[in-house]
Amino acid sequence: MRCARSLHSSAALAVVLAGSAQAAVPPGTSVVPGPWVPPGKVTAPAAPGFAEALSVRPFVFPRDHGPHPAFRQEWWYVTGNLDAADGERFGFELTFFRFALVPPEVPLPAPAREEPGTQVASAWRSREIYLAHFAVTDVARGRFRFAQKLERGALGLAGALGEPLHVWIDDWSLGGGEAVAAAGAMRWRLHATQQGYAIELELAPQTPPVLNGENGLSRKADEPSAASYYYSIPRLDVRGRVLRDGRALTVSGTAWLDREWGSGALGVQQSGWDWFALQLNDGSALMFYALRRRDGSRDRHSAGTWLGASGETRPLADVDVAISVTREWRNARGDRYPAGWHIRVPSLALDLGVRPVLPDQELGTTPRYWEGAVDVSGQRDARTLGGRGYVELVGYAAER
Amino acid sequence: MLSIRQLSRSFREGGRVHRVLEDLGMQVARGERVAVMGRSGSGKSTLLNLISGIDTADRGSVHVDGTEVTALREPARTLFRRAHIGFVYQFFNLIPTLDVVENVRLVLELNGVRGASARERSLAVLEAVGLRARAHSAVDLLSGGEQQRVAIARALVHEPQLLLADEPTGNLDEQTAREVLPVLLSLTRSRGATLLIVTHDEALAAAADRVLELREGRLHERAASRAAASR
Amino acid sequence: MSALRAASLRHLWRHPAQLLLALVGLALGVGTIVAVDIATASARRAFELSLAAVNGAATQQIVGGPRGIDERLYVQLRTQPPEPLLRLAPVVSGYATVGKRVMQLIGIDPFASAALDAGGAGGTAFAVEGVGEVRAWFTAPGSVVMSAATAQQLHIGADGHFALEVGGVTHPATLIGRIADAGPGFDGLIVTDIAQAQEWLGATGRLSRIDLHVAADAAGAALLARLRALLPAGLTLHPTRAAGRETFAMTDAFTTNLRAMSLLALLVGTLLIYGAVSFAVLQRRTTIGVLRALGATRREVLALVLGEAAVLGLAGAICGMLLGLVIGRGLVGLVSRTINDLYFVVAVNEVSVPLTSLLKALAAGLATALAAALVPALEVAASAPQLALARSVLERRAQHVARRLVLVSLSLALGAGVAVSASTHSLLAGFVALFLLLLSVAAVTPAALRALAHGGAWLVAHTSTVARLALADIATSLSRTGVAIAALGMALAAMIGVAIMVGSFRESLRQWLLESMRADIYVSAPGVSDSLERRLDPQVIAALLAVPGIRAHSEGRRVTVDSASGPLDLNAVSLVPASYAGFRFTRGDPARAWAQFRAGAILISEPLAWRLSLAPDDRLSLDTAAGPRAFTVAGVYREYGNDRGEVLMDLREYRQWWSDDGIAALGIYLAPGVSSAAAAGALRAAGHGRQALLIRSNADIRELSMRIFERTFVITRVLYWLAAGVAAVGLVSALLAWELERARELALLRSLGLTPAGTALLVMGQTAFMGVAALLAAIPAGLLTALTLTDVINRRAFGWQIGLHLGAEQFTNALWLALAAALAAGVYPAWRSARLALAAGLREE
Repeated sequence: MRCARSLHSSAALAVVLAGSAQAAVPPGTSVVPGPWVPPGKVTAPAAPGFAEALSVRPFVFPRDHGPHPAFRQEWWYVTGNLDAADGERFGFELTFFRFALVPPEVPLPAPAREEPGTQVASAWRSREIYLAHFAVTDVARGRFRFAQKLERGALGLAGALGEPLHVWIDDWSLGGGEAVAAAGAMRWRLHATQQGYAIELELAPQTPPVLNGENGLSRKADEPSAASYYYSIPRLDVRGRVLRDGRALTVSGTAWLDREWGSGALGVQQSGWDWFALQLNDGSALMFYALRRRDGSRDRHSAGTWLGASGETRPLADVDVAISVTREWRNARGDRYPAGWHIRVPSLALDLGVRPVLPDQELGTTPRYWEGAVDVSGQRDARTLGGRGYVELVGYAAER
Repeated sequence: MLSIRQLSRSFREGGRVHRVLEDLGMQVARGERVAVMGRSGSGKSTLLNLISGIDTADRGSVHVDGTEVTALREPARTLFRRAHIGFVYQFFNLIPTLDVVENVRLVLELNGVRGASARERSLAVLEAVGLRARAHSAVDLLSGGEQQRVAIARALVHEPQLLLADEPTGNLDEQTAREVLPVLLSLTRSRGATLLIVTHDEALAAAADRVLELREGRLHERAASRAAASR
Repeated sequence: MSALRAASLRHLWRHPAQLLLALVGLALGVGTIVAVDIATASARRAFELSLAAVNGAATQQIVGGPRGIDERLYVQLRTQPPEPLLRLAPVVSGYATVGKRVMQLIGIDPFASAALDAGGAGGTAFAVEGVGEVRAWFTAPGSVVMSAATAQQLHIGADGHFALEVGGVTHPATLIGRIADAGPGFDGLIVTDIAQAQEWLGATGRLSRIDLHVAADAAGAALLARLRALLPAGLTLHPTRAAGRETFAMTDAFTTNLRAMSLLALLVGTLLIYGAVSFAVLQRRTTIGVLRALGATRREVLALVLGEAAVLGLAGAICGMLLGLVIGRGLVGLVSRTINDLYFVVAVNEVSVPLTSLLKALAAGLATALAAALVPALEVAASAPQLALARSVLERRAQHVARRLVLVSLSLALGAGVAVSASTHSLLAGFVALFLLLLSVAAVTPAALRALAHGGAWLVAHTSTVARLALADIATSLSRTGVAIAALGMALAAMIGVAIMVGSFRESLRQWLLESMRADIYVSAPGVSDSLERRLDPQVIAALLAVPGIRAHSEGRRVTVDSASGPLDLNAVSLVPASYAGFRFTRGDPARAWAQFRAGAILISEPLAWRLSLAPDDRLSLDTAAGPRAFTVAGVYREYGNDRGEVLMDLREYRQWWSDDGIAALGIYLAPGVSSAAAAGALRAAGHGRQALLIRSNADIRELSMRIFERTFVITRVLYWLAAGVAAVGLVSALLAWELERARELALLRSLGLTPAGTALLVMGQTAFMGVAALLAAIPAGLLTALTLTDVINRRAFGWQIGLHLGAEQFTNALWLALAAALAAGVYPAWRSARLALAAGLREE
């Protein structure tokens, strides 16, 4: 018997198929999700009509925590490590992407006939699509769970607001709510649910935003368009609850916020990246992304930022950081991921070992990527140093 | 009256050709009563069928009263037959769905005689065969002899010039045959018809003016019959 | 026993024509059943596939009234779900016309729909691999997707541009993708974004339904309870399957009728097999007598005859299956067209052959043959070992049987009467009665033929002996031809009955249309009735009513509303004084009913009153936008437009309870002296450029209605012609056998001087007489059948009351069939008898 697909999934797939006919891009190269580009075969330079990240701009907070609709894509990326009162440990990732379908000035299609007194344009018409990923690493149970949501930015189903910050898809949200109003101190609520796990957290930034790259302008390739505005808040205090199978566990810990927006994409020779966001227990933090080229070498546009314990920041160039892989992990499909690293930053006298708290923290979304909680141990200036963090590995899974 | 020349008829049976009649010749005068004798399968019935136009010859000709029957096509052959020839069969061949008089009348009606005249003529001929009283009986209630008398009435009711009888007593016991035979002979004579009887009943043959024997597809005059003829 | 078998097979082999015709008869009977099965199964399968395609993993759906659901409910369920992982998707559905084809238009949210199917927000395989194409889906004007097959059928070119018409307005559309691996469920489906669908269908702010996937466990049940509690008034939550079943159940009466017609063909086939087997037994009475004398037991003889029948049945069933596949393919189109005309839009592009129907055919063929052979088999097995029976004995026995059959016929007719009077609503009892009646006709036909032949023979006894012979032969042939004549009589009775029923129905419909179409001109938005998009633009209405010469106008809105008794058609109307005369009440006092109607009561049509057993002053609960409300039934009126029945409600009342101010149709009453054609032209001009409108005079609508009516009965005609075909084949077979058997008698007649032409005439005359006699027997029976069809079957299936109207044309088909069958049956024997080899025919036994 023929297996007939159902309408619900087929319509979306039809869209997909119509697209794949045009995508003359070698497989496994440009399918890149995560903080840098929207999940999709985006290889074209920035679409006309969108603003581009071409030069250094002033950042104004809290306004810049909010959306930048002139740019094609944007994301709010929260990762963190949590400890429950009973000693159990969790990692979480909750990330929201905004993708503009049309530049701001371009009008949406409207019905031909105008009937006075009746609302004619559908409220479902939208200029934007929102995507969110939510993953939980339950260390004690050895479980990693993830979920995804996609919505159009219409009817209040999904959207982003600036002041105060509120980004949401359905019932997953960042910011918003009454907690924001807490006088003076910035506080964001975080809420998401999936099968078996939910988080209800409150984030309080412990550091001011750190501008990455050249005062927040982050170049990813030689092409001028392959750049974005990028800042991080490397340390946010987290309090709240993790609900596991309906039972609430009080948790606390530290999170990392990455914010980025732009209209470009990766360079054509780049195949993926390894992103490290490590919070060390002396109060310092290290962010570094190593861009990988198709030939396996590291791209010279790889870069990072060092946040000292006293709050000073220092940009890190490709040559400043040496990374070697110490272990590997293979998923059920046979894709090989690095699963342990030795990171040295000679200029900082930093020497760190990084190890995932669980080997399998891969999100089986399309495309697939690995985003997981890690433990850090090492030394700086010969002093022993520990820490935690998150690592993102993109471009390792073969496309199929 | 009846003139047959070089009449031939063969049947194909399986792969073999069985010659039944071969260059048979025969002349019968008006009013003459002729018996044809022969063993079973010698072709006696075939001869009658050819004379009456029920069967067609391979070769040769049959003239009845000046008409060449063998040259006629349908439906002329049927029309000729029903007007000029009467038929008596061994198994009577009465139509069971019709009663006695209807069986007789049927032939008249086929010859275009209808209504009262048909009825009267039918009853008259039944009277002649002694069955007037049974005119409205169902035919299968009659005895064999009675049935054959009805058949004789049917064969002569339209006053044919030629009466063909195929073993008319073959299906009757000796006693009955002896009762039926005079009816056949007298009625034929009284109506002036020529009679050709096919039989192997010697008694019947003895009553004929002439006896012919059918052997190997031809007719042979029998000495005894010549004697009878001269008598 | 193997010698017996060999003898039996050899016998069948030596009578190939007879064998063949019996097979053809059975095969036609079985084939008709299979064909109807295939046609209805294909329609059902197409419907289910389409439902499965549209519903996907949805297990439940939230539906609203005629105006659908406020989309804010969906947003609320998404952003504040009663349960975190609720799987739900919004759907906006309606109809669009492309070219001449009505397509289902479905608007979805691809993200929600994919998540619903893939298992919610969990690890989905959902992929958006081309932002460019996602962009087209969301932002290109008129972007749609459909199956490649549908795109091909609509002749959509490579650029994907085509025009699509919804509710009278033409929109440009672009095919941006073809649905991969689309099964036949996607036939006739156009899928677009929910925003686009809302705009096209004029349903912004509304959803047709919300699909849900809820696990079938205790937690799921608890969730459903919570959801129900949460739903605003006027919305209901019910299982998807049930909704589909309910929709398809609309066609139940229709498919039941089809099945009954196909059973008729098999019934005729049964009689033929009976005839063939009993004739075969009859012919071999001598052989069987010898066998019995030689020591074959009754059991062995019985097994022999039944074995032959089984072989025959099996062969017939297999041929029938193949034939059914062929006929079925033809019927699929007819069945789906009728369903589309009367019930719902479904595209049946694939013929599905259910295994069960093939097994059914096998069983039907075998059972039919065995059942038909049982009587002659028992009879021959029971008879004492004797060599032969005289023919007259056999005939007498047949006549005795014929006389006994008259009694059987009477008791069958009595049984039919009992079946009708003992039940009031049962359609099954109605069909039982119908079949008993037809069997009764079959039983009485041989006796009628015999009486007619005897009478005729008596009449001509003194004028023509040949004619008398011919008639007397017929009377005595019943042992050979009786069954075939019975089958023909039955088929003719059915044919006459159906013809009278259709004719009466047509006449009732015509009168009703004349009565009820009170307005001069009707204006409506094109599209499928009962759908959201079928609304007239208020500006257009204003422009239309400004046309001079309009005396008055009525307004109408036809929608489907939910009720405790399932979905009901609701016709909301604002009537003008001239409209009232268009309603003929079958129950309730008109004056009082109209007064109540204006005060908020409802009127219901006859079929609905019948289906729900409602009478004036009863109450009918309808799901309004404010929740269920019981309306008083003020009266029942005659209506032939809708076999499910409808509710008539005052438009103001409807608007109040359903908050829907749409108007779908206007009835225009012209001032005296204004020509209908001129007014139609003016109306057309007034609406031009704003909305495509259907502007039709009442005469146009009457004609259209009659055309649909005729189309509806095409399939009935096809089926009764099939049954008649079976009967004709049977008659040919029986007459052929009979004529061959009396070759000797014909040869004798030929030798006595009957010409070949005369013989042929005799034979043809006999068969023609048989046909006419069967027709004469069938006419009164056909009248009874017509009464059963109109007063019992139609009444019970649809609730209609139809007055009997008789016309000569109702009998012509049967007359032609009778003559054609009889003459066709006579041609070969006549030709044969004319060319009879006399010498061989006369050869002594």
